[in-house]
Amino acid sequence: MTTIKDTALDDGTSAGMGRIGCLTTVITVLFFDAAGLPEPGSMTVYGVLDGHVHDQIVLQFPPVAESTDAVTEWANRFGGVVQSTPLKDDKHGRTQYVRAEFTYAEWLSVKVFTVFPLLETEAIASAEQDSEPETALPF
Amino acid sequence: MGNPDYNHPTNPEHRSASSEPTMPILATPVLAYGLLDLMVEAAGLAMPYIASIDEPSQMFALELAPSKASIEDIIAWSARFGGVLQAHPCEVRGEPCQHVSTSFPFHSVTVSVYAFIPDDDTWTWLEDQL
Repeated sequence: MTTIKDTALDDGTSAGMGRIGCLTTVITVLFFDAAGLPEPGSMTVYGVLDGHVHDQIVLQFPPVAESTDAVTEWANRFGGVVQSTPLKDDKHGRTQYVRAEFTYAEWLSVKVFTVFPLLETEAIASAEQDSEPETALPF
Repeated sequence: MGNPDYNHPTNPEHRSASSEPTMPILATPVLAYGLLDLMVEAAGLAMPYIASIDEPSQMFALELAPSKASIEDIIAWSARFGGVLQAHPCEVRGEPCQHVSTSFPFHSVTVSVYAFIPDDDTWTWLEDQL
């Protein structure tokens, strides 16, 4: 049985676009399937790095608390688990990192996330829940 | 009654430089189609290993491998799409390197093709050219 991956890799290779071109082809199909969902503000595609095949896309939503809903909607549509983690570092202060990951077309690894600054009151509440926040940004 | 003065600021037909029509901001899914279009037009060139779309700046960023071969690959991108080649020293994870890049417009989007070349590789490449 021919999969989306097989078709994309065959078409991309024959068109001279390489693996990243194949991935971009699949991403356009992903966005078609994501019709009606909030649109991310930026996107990064990872192909082959240092001989290692990543085949991953990362979708980032704007740095506002409302983007949590966007991440949740994407997770609901495609079957990911939403995780939320408070972060703290000297440069950005206290922030909330909300992410979800899922596999698209049984192949492509998709990560959707947002990082937004916490208001002072939210930061206090968050600090009470998590006494040892992560100290490094994950991106 | 004479002809209306279209250059007068009080005239609703007046068009200042700031009211020139501008391209609409394209959403990320639309830009993804644009990126695919760029890949098709770039067929045969070295392909990036990381490609990014940034909606706020309407930009594509394509990163090539950190090796001296990427210098010629960037030159090839520049030759095909009409960009200007630039390089400046920088550091990546504490290692000195050259940020070699070219940028050019692709429809209404700015494309940047770049690589971080370790300094040793850059000098080797320059020596090869001399």
